[in-house]
Amino acid sequence: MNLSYLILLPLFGFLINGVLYLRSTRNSKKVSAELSGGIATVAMLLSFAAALYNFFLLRQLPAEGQLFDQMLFPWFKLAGMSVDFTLRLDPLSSVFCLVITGVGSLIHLYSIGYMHHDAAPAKYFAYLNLFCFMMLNLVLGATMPHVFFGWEGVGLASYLLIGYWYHDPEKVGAGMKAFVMNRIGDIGFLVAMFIAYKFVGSLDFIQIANTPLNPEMTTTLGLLVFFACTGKSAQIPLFTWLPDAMAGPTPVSALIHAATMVTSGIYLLARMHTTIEASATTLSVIAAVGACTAFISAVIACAQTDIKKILAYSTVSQLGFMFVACGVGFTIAGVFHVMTHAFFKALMFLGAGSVIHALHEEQDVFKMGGLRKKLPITFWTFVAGWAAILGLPPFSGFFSKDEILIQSLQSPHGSMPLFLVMMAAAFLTAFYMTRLLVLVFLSPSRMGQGVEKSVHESPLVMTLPLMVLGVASVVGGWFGLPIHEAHVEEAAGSSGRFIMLASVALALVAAFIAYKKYGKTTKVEQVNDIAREGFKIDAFYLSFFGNGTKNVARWMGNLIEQQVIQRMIRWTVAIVDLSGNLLKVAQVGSSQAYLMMMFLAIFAVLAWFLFGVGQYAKF
Amino acid sequence: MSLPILPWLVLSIGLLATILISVVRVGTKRPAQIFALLTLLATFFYSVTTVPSGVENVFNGAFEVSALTQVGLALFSLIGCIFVLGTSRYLTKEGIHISDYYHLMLLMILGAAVMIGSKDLISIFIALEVMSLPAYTLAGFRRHDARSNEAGIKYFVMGGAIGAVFLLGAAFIFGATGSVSIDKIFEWSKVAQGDFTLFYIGHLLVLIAFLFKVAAVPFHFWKPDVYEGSPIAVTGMMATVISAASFIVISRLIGIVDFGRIEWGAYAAQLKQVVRVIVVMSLVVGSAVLLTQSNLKRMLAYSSISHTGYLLLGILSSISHPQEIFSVWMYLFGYCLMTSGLFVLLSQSEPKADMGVELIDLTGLMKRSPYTTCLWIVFLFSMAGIPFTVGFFSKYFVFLSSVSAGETAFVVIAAVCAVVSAYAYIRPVALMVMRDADPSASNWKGSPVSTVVATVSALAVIYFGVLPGTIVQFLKGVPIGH
Repeated sequence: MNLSYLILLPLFGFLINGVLYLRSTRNSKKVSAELSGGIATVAMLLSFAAALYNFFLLRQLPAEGQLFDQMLFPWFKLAGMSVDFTLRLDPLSSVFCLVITGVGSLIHLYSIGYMHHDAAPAKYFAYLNLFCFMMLNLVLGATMPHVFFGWEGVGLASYLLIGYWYHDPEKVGAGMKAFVMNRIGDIGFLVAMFIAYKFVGSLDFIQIANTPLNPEMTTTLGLLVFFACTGKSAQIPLFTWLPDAMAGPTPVSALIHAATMVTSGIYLLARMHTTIEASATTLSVIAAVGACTAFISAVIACAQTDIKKILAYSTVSQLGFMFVACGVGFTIAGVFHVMTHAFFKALMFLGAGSVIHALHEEQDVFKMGGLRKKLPITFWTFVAGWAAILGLPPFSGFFSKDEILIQSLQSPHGSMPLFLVMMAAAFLTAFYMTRLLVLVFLSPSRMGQGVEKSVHESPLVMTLPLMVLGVASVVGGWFGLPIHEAHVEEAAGSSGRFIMLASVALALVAAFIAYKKYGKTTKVEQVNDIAREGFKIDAFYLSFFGNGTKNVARWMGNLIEQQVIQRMIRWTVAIVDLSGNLLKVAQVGSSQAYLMMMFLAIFAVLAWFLFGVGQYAKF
Repeated sequence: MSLPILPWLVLSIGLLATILISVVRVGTKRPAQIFALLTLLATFFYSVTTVPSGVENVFNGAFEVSALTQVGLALFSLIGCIFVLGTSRYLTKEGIHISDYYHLMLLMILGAAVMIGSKDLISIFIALEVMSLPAYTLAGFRRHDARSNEAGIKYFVMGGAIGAVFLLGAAFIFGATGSVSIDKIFEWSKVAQGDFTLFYIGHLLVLIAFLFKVAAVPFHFWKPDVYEGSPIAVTGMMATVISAASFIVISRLIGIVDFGRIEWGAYAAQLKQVVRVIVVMSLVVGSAVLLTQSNLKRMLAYSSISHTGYLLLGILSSISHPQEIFSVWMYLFGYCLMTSGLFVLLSQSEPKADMGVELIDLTGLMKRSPYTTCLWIVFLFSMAGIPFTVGFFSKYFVFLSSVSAGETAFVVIAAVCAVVSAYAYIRPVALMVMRDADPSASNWKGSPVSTVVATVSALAVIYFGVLPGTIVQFLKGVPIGH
C-alpha cells in the first residue's frame, strides 16, 4: 500500500499548471482549457484510481486492524514528543478520499467545459488541484498539526477560488469574508491542539482517543474542536460566509462549498468522536446548534431567488443534519450523509451551473422556467438529485437522512423536540427544493426573447459528470457506507418504520404544495409579490409558506444576518480602526514629546513595580 | 591553534581592512563592497565551522563563546551578506553607495556580535554603543533628505537618553551587588539576603534600556519615524540585527537572577506581571495600528512592534521555565530570515522623489512582475504566520512554550492579534494580485542579484516552514547560559 501517490498526483497537477500559468502571464499566450484541464483531470483520475486501489487493499485486512500508517518524513520534535508527517488510511479517511477524488475528478472534467471561455484556465485548474491536495492532507493526516495544515490549506484554496474573478469587488469581498470567518474558527482548532499537547502529551489522534482526560477538559476540548468545525462547515454562528462564497465559479461551489471542504467539520468530529462522545454537554451543544442551523437556513432558503443561493442555504441546512447525527452520538450516520450529500448536492450545483451557462449567467429563478425540454439531460439528472435530497426511496438521500431522523429520536442523546425540529427542517427542504425545480424547469418560460433562442444543452464534457453523479445519487445509498465496522443499521422497530413513512409522506406533501404554488408562475413581476398569487389550495399552509415564510425569512435574514452578525463584524472593525487611529495620534513626531513619554513610561513601570513587589512580599 | 574568539577577530580584522582599502583608494566603492562581503562570508564560515559544544569564558569571564553567541554571529553575518548583495543597486539609486556605508555596517554588526557575548554590564554598554553609533549615522545617511536627517537625530537623541538609563541601572546594580560581572551577580543572587529594592530598580532600568531598543510598547514611539526616514537597507539591518542582538541580551539580563530561590519569588511574580502588560500592549498596538498604515516602512515598523510582543511572550515563559527560551531563538531565526528577505524586496522599489513606498505602489505587481510577486507572497504569508512558512512555526513554538508555562490567556490574546494582523499582511497580497496597477504606482526593478538573494531567503522560509526539525533540534540543544 502506498499512499503518497494519492496526495502527490494533485500536487504535481498544481505545479504543472502553476508553471504553465506563470509562463503564460509572461508571453501573454493563453493556455487552453483543454490542456490545463486535461492535466488536472488526469491527475485527479489517477489519484482516484490510487484511492480505489488502496480502499480494496484496506478491505482485505481483518476488520479489527483496518489501519495503515505511512510515515513520509519526520516533521519536528518537541520536548519528548516527535511529530511525523504521516498519512493514515482507515475506513473513515478511505471514504473521504474516495469522495474527494471521485467527485473531484468529475468536477474537474466538468470545469473544462465551464471554464472554456475564461481568460486563464491554467490558474483555475492549478488552484483546484491545490485544493484537492490540501483536502487529501486534511483527511489523511494522522496528527492534529497535519490536519491543521490541510485545514488551512483548503481555506487558502477556497479564498483564492471564491475571489477568482477578482475584478468584481463584491467577489473579492466574499473571499475575504470566507477567509476571516474561517480564521475565527481556527482559533478553536489551535487552542484544542495546545490542550492536547499539554494534557495528552501527544498530537496523534489515536493517542488522544486513548488517553482519558478529566471531564471538564474533555468538554473543553470537544467544544473547541466543534467551534473550529462551525467555521469550516458553516454552522451558526459562523455560517454567513457560505452563501456569499457562491461568488466563485459554479464548479468550485459544487466541489468545495458543497461536496468536500464544508464537510471537513464532520470529518474532524468523526475523527475525534471518542473525545466528543465522552461529554454529554458537548454532544447536546452540537445537536442543538446543528438543529437550529438546519431549520433556520431551510427557512431562509425558501425566500431566495438566486439559484445558487438556494442551493447554498440548502447546503448549510444539510450540514446541520450531519451535525445533529454527530450530536446524538451517531457519527457514522453523519459520515454516510456526507457521502450521499456529496453526490446529490454536487449534482445539483453542476446542474445549476449548466443552467446558468446556458442562460448566459442568469441566476434568478424567476427569470427561468420551462427548461425541461431545452435542457433534457440537465433536467433529468437534476430530478435525481431532487428526489435524493427529498429522501424519496430508493434514492440515496432516503437512507442517510432517515437514519439521522430516526436517531435524533431514538438515540440515548436524542429527544422529541430535536426530532420535531428536524422533521420541520426536512419538510422545508422538500418545499424549497421543489420550488426550485418547478421554477427552473417545469413552469412556463419567463426568459427574454433573445435569451430563449440561444439556450442549448451543455457539451458532453459537462453532461457526462452530471449523468455519472445522477446514477450515484440513485444508487449511492443502497449499500450503506462501504466500510466493514460501520454498517448503518436497519431502522429499528416499528417506530422507526413509522418515522420513515412519515418523513416520506411529509416530503411529498411539501413537494405538492410547492408544485401547486409555483407550477403556473408565468410572470417575472411575481418576484415582487409572491403572496398575491396562489392561496387556492390550502390557506393555512400557503399563508404560512407564502407570506409567512417570506417574512420570517426576511426578518431572520435581517435580524440575524444583517442586524446581529453583520453589525458585530462592523463594530469589531470599527473598534480596531478607531483604536489604531487613536494610537496614531500619540505619534506626534517631536523628539521632546517622545522623550517625555518615554520617561513617563519608565516612571510608571518603576512605580507600579515597586508597589507590586511590596504587595507580593506581604504574603 | 585553538582561539575561541577567532570569528570575532576575523570580523574585526576585515573591518579594519575595509576601512584601510577605502582610505588607500579614496572615492571608490567597489573594493569596500567586495572586502565587506568577503569579511562577512569568512566570519560566517568560521563561526559555523567552529561551533563549540560547551560554554567558554574568555577575558576573565567578561565574554562568552558558546553555540548561542557563535550562531548569533553567523546569523548576523548572513544577514549582512544578504544586504550587501541585495541592496547595492538601491544604494546606487539613492546616491549613497559609498565606501563609508560598508565600514559603518560592519561596525554595527561587530557591536551586535560582541554585545551578545558580553557577560559584564560594562562591556554590554560599550558594545551597545559600538552597535548604536553607526546605526545613528546610517539612519541619517541620505543627507539631502530632511526626513532621513530627522530620523538620524531622533534616533541619536532617544538612543543617548536610553544609554544613560542603562548606565544608571548598571550603577544601581553595582551598588546593590558590588559587581558588574554577570556571573558574579548570579552568584550573589544565590546567597543574598535582605532588602533588594536597589537591585530591583537597577535591573528594571537595564531591562527597559533594551526594551527600548526592541521598541516594546510603551517605549516604541521612536520606531515608526526612524524606520520611515532611514534608507531601506539600514532599516532592514535595524529590524533584524539590532532587534535580535537586543533580545539575546534581554534573555541574558533576565537570567541574571536565580529565580529558583524562594527569596526572589515576589520579584519574579511582579516582573512577570510587568512583562505581561508590555506583551499585551505591544501586541495590541502593533496589530491595531498596523491595519491603519499605508506607508510600507511604517507598516513594517508596527509589524516589528507586534513581533516584539510575541518574542516577549517567549521571554515571559522563560522566566519560570528557562528551557522554553528555545522558542525565542526559533522566533528570532524565522523573523530575521523573513524580514531581511522582505526588505531586500522593498529596496527594489523606484519611488518618486521625496515619497515613501506606499501600499498603492504594489498594485498590479502580479501583472508587472509575477515572479517577484510570488516572493512577496511567501514573505508576507510568513509574517502572517500561515503554515508552510517558517513564520508559522515561529509563532507555533512560542505559543506552545507559553501554554506549557501556564500563560494560556496570553496565548489566546496573541492568537487574536495574529488574526487581526494577518488581515494587514494579506491586504498587500490582494493589491498585488487582484488589482490592476494604479496609474501613480511606482516601478519596481531589482538587480538580478537581489532577486536571487530574495529567492534564496524565500526558499529558506519555505524549507524551514515545512521541515523545521533540524533547526529546532539544534536550538533546543543550545546551552542556557545566564
